[in-house]
Amino acid sequence: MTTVSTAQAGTAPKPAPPLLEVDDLVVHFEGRRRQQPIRAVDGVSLGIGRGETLGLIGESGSGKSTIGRAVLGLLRPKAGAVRFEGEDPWTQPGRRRRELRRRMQVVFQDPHEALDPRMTVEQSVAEPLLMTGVRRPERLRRAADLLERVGLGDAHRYRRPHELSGGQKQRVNIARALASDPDLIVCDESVSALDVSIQAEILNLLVDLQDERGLSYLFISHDISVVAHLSHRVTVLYLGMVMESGAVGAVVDRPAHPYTRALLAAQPRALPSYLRTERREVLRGDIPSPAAPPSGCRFRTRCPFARDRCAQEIPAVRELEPGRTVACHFAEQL
Amino acid sequence: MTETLLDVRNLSLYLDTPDGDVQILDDVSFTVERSTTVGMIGESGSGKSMTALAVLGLLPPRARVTGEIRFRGTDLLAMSRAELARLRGTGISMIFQEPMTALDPVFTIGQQISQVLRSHRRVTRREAREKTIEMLDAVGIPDPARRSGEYPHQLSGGMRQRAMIAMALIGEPELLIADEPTTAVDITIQAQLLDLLETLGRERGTSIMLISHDIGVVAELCRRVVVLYAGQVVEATTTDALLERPGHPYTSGLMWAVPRLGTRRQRLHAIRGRVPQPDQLPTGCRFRPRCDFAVPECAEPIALAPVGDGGPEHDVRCRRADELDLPGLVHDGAEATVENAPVVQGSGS
Repeated sequence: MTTVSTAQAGTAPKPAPPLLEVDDLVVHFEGRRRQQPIRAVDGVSLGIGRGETLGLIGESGSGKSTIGRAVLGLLRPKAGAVRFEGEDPWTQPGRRRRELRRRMQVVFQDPHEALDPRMTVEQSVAEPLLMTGVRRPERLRRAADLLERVGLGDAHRYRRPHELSGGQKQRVNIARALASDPDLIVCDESVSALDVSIQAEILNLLVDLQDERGLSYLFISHDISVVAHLSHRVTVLYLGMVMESGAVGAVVDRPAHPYTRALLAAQPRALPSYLRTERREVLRGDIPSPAAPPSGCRFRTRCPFARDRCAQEIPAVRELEPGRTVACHFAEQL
Repeated sequence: MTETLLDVRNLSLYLDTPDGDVQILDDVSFTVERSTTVGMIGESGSGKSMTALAVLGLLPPRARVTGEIRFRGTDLLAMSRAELARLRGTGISMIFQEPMTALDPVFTIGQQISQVLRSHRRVTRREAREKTIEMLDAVGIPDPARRSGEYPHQLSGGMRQRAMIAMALIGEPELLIADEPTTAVDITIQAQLLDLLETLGRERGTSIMLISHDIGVVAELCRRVVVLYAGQVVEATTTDALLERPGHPYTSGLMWAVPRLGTRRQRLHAIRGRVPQPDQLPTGCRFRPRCDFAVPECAEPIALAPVGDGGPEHDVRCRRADELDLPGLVHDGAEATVENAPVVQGSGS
C-alpha cells in the first residue's frame, strides 16, 4: 500500500490529454483558376479539455467556422491534424472514424435549415439513433427524454419544424445533437439568429447541459459578449491565425494583443453617458482579403502599434504566462 | 430651444390578410427633435421596421394606417405620392441593414449617388459628380474619385454601408432613419460606422432615428430611446434614465437577458414565453403573460403615461411602474454586475 502511494506521489501527475487537439491546422480553399488559394486557416493549434468550453473569437475571414468544420471532419485539412482523444479520424479505418465522428456533434446558426421539414420533432431527434442499432421503442423513449430535457414537452413531439418558433427549433437541434451522446459539441453561431430573450434561454440551457453531462463545447460566435459568457478559455483569431489565447478572464480583462484590445474597445456598451470613459479607439480600415493576407503579422495593416519588424516577420505564438499565449512581437511593451 | 422635427401621434397600422385585418402597430407616439438622436429598440415582430416604413410612406399596399405622422408640422399621411417622393431623400432618408437591397448592382456607386442628387436638385452632371466624390470622402471611403467608378460588388460590406450612407445623405435630409445599419457587419466595422453616424449627425445637424435590437448599439449613439413591444411603445425616455432605472419589466428584462463581458456563465434572465403573434394578442398589457410582476388588473387596457420620479421625460406603459423598482444596468454609480443586481424573479431555462 505504502509503496503504491509513494510511487504515485513520486511521479508527476500526468496531465490527461485534452479531449480534442487541433495541431498546426492548415485549411486552404482553391480559388478560381490562376488565383492564389485562400489560406482560410494557417497554422492554428488549440486544445479543449473535458467539460470545457473553448470560445473562438474573430471577425469575417478569421477562419473560425472553417476550424469548426475541420474539427467535425467536414473539411480535409491541407496540413496539420485534428485529434480526438489522441486519434486523428482521417487516419483511422472507416468504422473507427465514424465512431469518433459520432462523439462530435454540431449545432449551426440557422435552426430551420438544419431540420428536415418533413420530419416530426420526435423523428428528427430519434434519427441519429438509427445508426446505433437501438430498437425503435428505445429510440422513441430516448427522444422523448431528450426533448423533455431541452424544454419541449409532449405537446411538441409530433410537430414539424414550420410549427415551431426559432428558439424551439434550436432546442430540437440541441436535442438531436445530444442523441448521439457526444463528448463535444461544436456550436457555430448557435444563438446568433435568435432574439435576445430567446438567446438567453438557449445560453442557460447550454450551461446546464454542460454541467450535467460534462460536455465540451467549441463555441464559435462573432459576438464577443456571448463567447465570453459561455467560455472557460478563448482563442482570438484574425485572418486564419491565432492572435491570442488564454483563460477568458485574463484575455477580456488584460488583453495582450492589440487586436484583442481593439475588439473589446469596439464592443458597444449599454452604459449611460456619464459612465462612458474616454473615447474608444476605433480601428481603421477594412479586414484584408484572406486570399491576399499582409506579409508578416496579419494584423499589422490595421495595428496602431505596427513597426517595420511586423511586416517582415510573422510573430510566433509564444507563451506569455502559463496557459496564456500571444502572437505579437511587442506584447510586453504595450 | 428644441424643435420637434418628427411627431408621430397615435399611429396605428393594420395589414389586410386573408384572415382579415391584423393590427401591427397600436397607438404609437414619439417625437424626434431637430439635431438629435433617437433609438428604437425592439425584438422581431415589435413593429420597429414597420414604423420606419410608415414614416417614409413606403408601406405595402395592403397596409392601412390611422393617426398622424407630422414632419416639420405637415402630416405625411395627408401628402400625395409626388409630395412624398420629393420629401424622401431631401427631408427624410433611410439606410438599411443590407446595403445590397438599396444599391443597384448594374450601376457604379458614383452613378447611383449622383442620380439621387440630380433627381432632387438642379445641378449639372459635373457638379453632381463633384458633390458625390465629396460625399464619399465624407463617409470615409478612401480614394473616393476612383471608388465612385466601382460597382457595389467590388466594395467590402463596410464600404457598401458607407456608400449607402453617402447616398442617403447626398440630398441633405434633416432626418436619417437607420434600420439595423450595423447588424450585418463585423464589430470593428460597426464601431467605425457608429462613429461615422455620430460625426455626420453632429456636423450636419441631421437627426438620426436608429432602429436596433441591440441596446448597446443604441446607447452608443442615441440620446433618447423608444422601446417597442408587440406593436406598442412600452417605454420612452432618455438613454441615461432608461439604463439607470427602466420603468417597464420588459425593458429591464431585456437588459438582463443580454450576456455582457462580465456575466461569465451566470444565469441570464430569460424572458419566458415568446412575443405574441399580432392576431393572438392578450387583453390589456401585451407583456402580461411573460411578466414576473403581472397582477389581475394588468388584463385591463393600459396607456403610456409619465412615471413619478422620472420627470416629464419618462413615459411607461405599465400600471405598476411607480411601485416597481426594476434593475437597470447602473448600480451605485457604476456598471451593475450580476452579484449586485436586485433579484430579478427567475424564469425557466
